[in-house]
Order: sequence, then structure tokens, then C-alpha cells
Amino acid sequence: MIQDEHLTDTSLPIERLGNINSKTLMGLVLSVVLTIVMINVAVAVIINKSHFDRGQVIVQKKWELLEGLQNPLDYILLGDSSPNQAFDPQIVREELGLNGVNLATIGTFGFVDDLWLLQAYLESFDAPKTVIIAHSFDVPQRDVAPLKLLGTYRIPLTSSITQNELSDFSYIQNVVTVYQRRIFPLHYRNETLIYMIEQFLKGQLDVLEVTYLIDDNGFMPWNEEGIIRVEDELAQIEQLIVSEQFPDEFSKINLQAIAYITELAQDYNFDLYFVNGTTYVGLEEVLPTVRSQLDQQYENIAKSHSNIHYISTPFTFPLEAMKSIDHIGADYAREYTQSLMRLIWSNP
Amino acid sequence: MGVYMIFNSQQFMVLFAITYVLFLLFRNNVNIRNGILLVASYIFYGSWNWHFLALILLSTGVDYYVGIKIDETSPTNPNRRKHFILISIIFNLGMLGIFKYYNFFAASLFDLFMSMGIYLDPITLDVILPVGISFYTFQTLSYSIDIYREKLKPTRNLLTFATFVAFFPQLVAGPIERASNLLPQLSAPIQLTPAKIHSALFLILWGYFKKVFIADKVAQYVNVAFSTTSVNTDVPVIVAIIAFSIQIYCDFSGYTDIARGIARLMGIELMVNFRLPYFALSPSDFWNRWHISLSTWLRDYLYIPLGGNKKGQWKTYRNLMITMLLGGLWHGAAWNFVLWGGYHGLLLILYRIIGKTSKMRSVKKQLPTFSIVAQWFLMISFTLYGWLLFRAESVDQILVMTKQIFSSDIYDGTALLDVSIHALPLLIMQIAQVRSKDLLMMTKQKLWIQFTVSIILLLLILIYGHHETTEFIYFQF
Repeated sequence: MIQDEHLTDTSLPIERLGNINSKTLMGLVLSVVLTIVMINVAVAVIINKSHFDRGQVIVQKKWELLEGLQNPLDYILLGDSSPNQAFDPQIVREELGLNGVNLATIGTFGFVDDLWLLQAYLESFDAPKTVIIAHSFDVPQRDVAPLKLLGTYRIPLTSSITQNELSDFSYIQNVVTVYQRRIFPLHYRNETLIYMIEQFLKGQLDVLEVTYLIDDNGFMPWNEEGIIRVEDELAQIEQLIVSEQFPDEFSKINLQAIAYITELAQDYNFDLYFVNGTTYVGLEEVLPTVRSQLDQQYENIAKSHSNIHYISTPFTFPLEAMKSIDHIGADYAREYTQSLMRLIWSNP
Repeated sequence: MGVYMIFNSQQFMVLFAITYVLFLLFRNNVNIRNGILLVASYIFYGSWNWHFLALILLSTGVDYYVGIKIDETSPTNPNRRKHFILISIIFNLGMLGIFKYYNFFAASLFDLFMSMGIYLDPITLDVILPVGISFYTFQTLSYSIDIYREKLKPTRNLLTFATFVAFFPQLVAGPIERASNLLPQLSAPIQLTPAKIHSALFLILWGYFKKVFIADKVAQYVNVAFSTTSVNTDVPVIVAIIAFSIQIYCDFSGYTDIARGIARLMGIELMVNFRLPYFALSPSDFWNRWHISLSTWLRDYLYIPLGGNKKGQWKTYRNLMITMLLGGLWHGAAWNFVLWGGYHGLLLILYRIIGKTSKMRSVKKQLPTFSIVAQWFLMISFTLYGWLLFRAESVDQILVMTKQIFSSDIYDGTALLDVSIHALPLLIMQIAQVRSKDLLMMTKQKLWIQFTVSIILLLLILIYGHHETTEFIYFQF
């Protein structure tokens, strides 16, 4: 290097150019690029075929269920993982003779995939009479990045999704953002990969291959022992509430999604019910301020039209029923389903 | 424009790809080639805040004019030459003063008078610090001074000069280039060889790795430990300081490597800015290895004009201290930077004093390995403590954390382990560089080694890298 040639202090390290010809350099660069591309393809295949990511499996199965529907339904239930494992449509069918599915997915999506699933349903069938949207106490506040989720989760890219009203970007930007995440998982799915690598290093890759039993109605009974200690979770939430760090405002993106959903309710003239998911009874004791804030915002939404309703009843369960702070075991799903059924269908 | 560009952002990658293709297409036509570089540089700089472009245009115009005027003025008319060089000095330092230091000095003056019970109505300007202003003002200033000293002939090509000032790879965080190095390269035919491209690709890859895998990762611990709100964190002070020393080195040298790699891909050589500074054995050795473009600038344009070491012992110490205090202040308008500069000034002075009277030489002859290890340990300890002064949010925090260094924290070791894991590749590479005395030793390894290392670095960047683009630390200086 120019300055290195004049360096007087000979003890300092310098830069010395090597000796390489263009063919060797080209070969080295191409082999590195090709290897990275091949690793990327392999990772994409592994991620798409594996069942270790609970969220992926649930989302994918719910979309498959929706796409496999042959006949219109009386109702559909949308929401997050709390109603996913608490609401059993079979019970409604047996007791009320109403046909419906549980399309609730995971909280990461907020109300965003409620909108997408509903739009996709309405593209294939006439509107159901009733749409129920059930969310846990901490979901409306979540900030959701729709494009990132589309790139990460195996959701069919229907036209309504790629045109995505929830994105501030152009159609092309939407498509590019989504596909670059899907095509280059090595770069964009690093959390999943890190998890996989960690499990592999611990020799626990087999635990990733858990299959989730989601029945034909979309209900996912959960019988595994509690993964998260409910009391610990409660203590953390309580600390956040006391320190006023627990959010109680609906996020902007959720409000946008809800606005589109309520428009659909008016345009297609179906009854839209916002309801709560399940919670541990002890949580409701520390939650009243947050709950009242959420109730207020739900009620404001419900005021907008006569066929939009909010059922503010919290569905609480004792410790033995809980698998986490807002997820119940399969044995208690009947109780939640029946409670919901009574509140929705016994009040004309 | 809405999106600012840093080297690890997609926007920059797109800009560079387009610029590079056009550059290669027109590489034989100097004016078109420089035109392409200039447009790309202004897009790059304007992406941060297009208003800043006015400053860089002004700086370019003033020093271009001053350079020509000094050259046109006969040496027999020194007053007129002095008049022109003063225009450049006042303009460049004035711009720095207004945009970087005005609020700091106004607030400090306010505090000083308040401490004496005098209320002074503070007049503060709500100015945003233009990115990279400290770098390009020093660059243009050195151009005019070199012409004044008759060490350089001015360029009469405004396009070339504007490209020299705004050259995007080094615009916002250096190296602070000398016109004598960069201007001739911008005016000459480009010579691209496979060896240059090879080393450029290595610099870019290694630079990204240092920034994304090491600096941004260890930053998480640094930010927690130095947060003003956190009192007792799980990150012990000593780990936080070590983490910051790794972060600032990897962040800044990572940026420099990428900048130099990008420039070299275009056949342009930028200064080596780092020569394994944490292997320094003395304070002067450290400054021969750390931010070399700044330390040599300060030496040539401040220390030597002050008299350097030619006017006696005490004046040498005075000159060292002034240079280092101003060098510290260059990093930012805050007292902790001044303190850091003063601390290094003191180390340099003490080293000169001890170095003259030391009997260590005889010990060194007897036990060279021990002596070298001891010297290294002493120097790295001083350097680490300096980083505490540099990073601390306040003088109070310096005092509290200094006490905590010597307290026996009980913690689970997770932070230290994680920092060590991220720093391990750096350590391995640098030991190899020290042993070979060659910063590009990796490019001379067997092909399979180069292939394997490249794949590992790329995979670690892709999988473990911090993907949210974070600014490089030295952009703020």
C-alpha cells in the first residue's frame, strides 16, 4: 500500500497484497456464493418441512382448513392461541346444530390475520351469520408488522393480502418484502435458525418435531403439562402493571385491521362479536385498570354499528385449568365454549 | 428522502451496486467517472438530511477557491497568503464550532455562571449535528493548509475536488484523507488488479463481520451497563468496559474496513486507519495504531505547529496535552471526551517521563517475554479505563463505575461468556495478523482455508448478525 511503503515503524503490522490471478479469484468468489445459496435453499426446505415451530404449524393448518372448506358456515371464530385451544366447534354443533370452524391462530398476528382469514373466506362463500373474534388481554396492544409475518409464516398470498391495505408500501414493495423473507430464510429467519441450532447442539432436535393435533373443526386440544409457570408469569405482569409499563392502548395496526373488519361486517351484514380469551382468575385481580381501558376501546368500536358487539365478560379459570396465564387445558374447553355459546346465541 | 444509508442497509447496497456498474462502464473517462462518484456521494449524504448538502457544497466551494487563491499569490506576499488560509481556517472551524460545539459551550458557560450565582440568559441554537462534519472539515482544512505550506498544488478541476471532499466510502466516518493521497488517484486512470479486488472483498467481509456480528451484539451489554437508569445490572462494570472496548473497535474499524474495501474495489486506496491497536505496548504505540488518520492529522496540523518536541521538555508536554485535549473534544461536544483526551495526554506525558529515566530496558533484555506481556497488560488496562471515560454518560457515572471496577460482583457470567464468544473470532484473526505482521494475511492462506473462513463469516453474519441496521458509532463525531 502507498502509505505502508513509507511506514517507518517496522514493528507495526502492514498490508501486503497477495498474488492471485483472476481465474482463481473468480472461482473462490463463485464457490463461496454458490455454497451460501445452497445452504440457504437447504434451510428453506428444512424450515418449510419441519413442524418444530408451533406458530407456523397452527397458522398453516388454519389456512389449510379454510382452503379445504366445501360449504358455507353459520359462523367462524377468529383470534389468537387462547381461543385456539379453548373453543371447540363440535360442542356448538352438538348443542345448537350450528356449523362453524375455529380459525384462531396466534397472538403475534393481532387482528391482522383475522382480517386476512375473513377476507379469504368471503372470497369463497357468502358471509356467515356470525363472526366471533376472541383475543387475549395482551393482544390488542401488540404492534404487528404484517409484511414480516407474511414473509415468515406460510400464508397463501391471496390478492387481498398482497394488495394489503395494512401496508403503507406499494404493491411491488409488499411482494418483494414478502418474497425476500421467504426465499432467504438464512438472513430473515435467524431466530428460528438460532433456536434450531441451539436445540441441535443440546441434542434435543427431536423435541422440535412435536406435532400439534388440530381437529377438523380447527380446535387444538392442549393436554401437555404447563410449559410456562403461571405464577411466575403473573408476577411479571403484575410488576409491569405496577410500574405502569403494561400497555393498555390498542396498537395502530390493530385498530386499522379492526376498522376493515367492521367495514366488512357492515358491507356483508353479519353479526360481529368481539370477545375475550381465557385467563387465569388470579390475573383478573391485578388487571382491572388495564381491563377497563380495553373494555372502553372495544365498546367504542362496538358503538359504530348495530351488528357489532362486544362481550366484556372475562372468562376466568382456576390454576389447575391453566397451561399458561391465558391458555387452558383441553378438559376446560367445554366450559369456555359453552359460556361463549350462551352469551352469543341465547341473546337474540 | 426518508431512508438514511449506512453500509449495512439495503438502500446503500442498491446505491453501491448501481454506482459500481456505472463506474466500471465509464472508468476510463475521469470526468464522467468522478461525476458518477459525486452524484452517488451526494445521494448518500443527502439521504441523512438533504439540508446538510448545503454545508458540504459550501465547504467544497470555499476551500477550492482558497486553494487556488493561495497558489496564485506569490510567496513574496505572505500576508495575502495568510489572509486566504485564515478564510479556510475560520470557515471550517467556524462551521464546526456552530454545528458541533455552540450548544455545548453555551451550556457550559451557563453552568459556570450559575455556579457563581450569576444567571445568564442562555441563547442556544437548536441545531442538528450534520453527519460526518468533523471528518470532511478536517479533510478540506488540510488541503488548504498543505497548499499554504507549498506541499501541494491545488486542483483546478472543481469536479475532482468536490469528489475528493464528498467521496462516499469515507465521507461520514473517515479515514480523514489527505489531498496528496486521494486527489491524484481521482485524477489518474484506475488500476484494478485481481489482488486488489481480492483484498477489497476480504476487507468488506471482515468489516461487516466486525460490525454486525461483534460490535452490534456486544453493544447490547454495553447499553444496559451504561444506561443512566440502570443502577445494578447483571453486567459487571469490568465486563461492560471490555465489551465497549470491543464494540468501539469493531464498530469503527469495521466501518473503516468496509470503506477501504469499497474504495479499493474502485481502484482507490484509502489510508490504513487501524493497526491492531489493542496490541500496543505504550501510549505512543497506541496512537500509532488507533484512528491513524486523525492522530497523524493532529500531529501534522496541531502538535508540530505548536512546536512539537523541539522546544524543550515542558513545552513538549504542554503541546501533547493541548493536542490530546482537542483530539478528545473532536470526538464530541461533551466533557467526558475532553477528559478522555486529557487522560491520554497524561499517559503520553508520563510515558515520555518514565521512558527517559526507565531502567526497564535492562529488565527487557533479560526477560523480554515477561517484559512485553507486562507492558501489554499495563497498556491495555490503561486503554480500557480510558474507554470508561469515553463511554460514560456523566462524570458521576465515571466515579460510580470506577469504584465498582474493584468491587467483587457476583453474577452468573452469562454476559462475559457471550461477549467472549463474540470476540473470539476477532482474537483468532488478530493473533494471526500479529504473528504474520500482515493485516491481509487471510488473503494469502490456502484456498480451502479462505473458502471455509468466508463461509463461516458469512453464515455468522447472516444467522447471528443483528439485522436491524444500527448506525456506526463514529458517525456522530
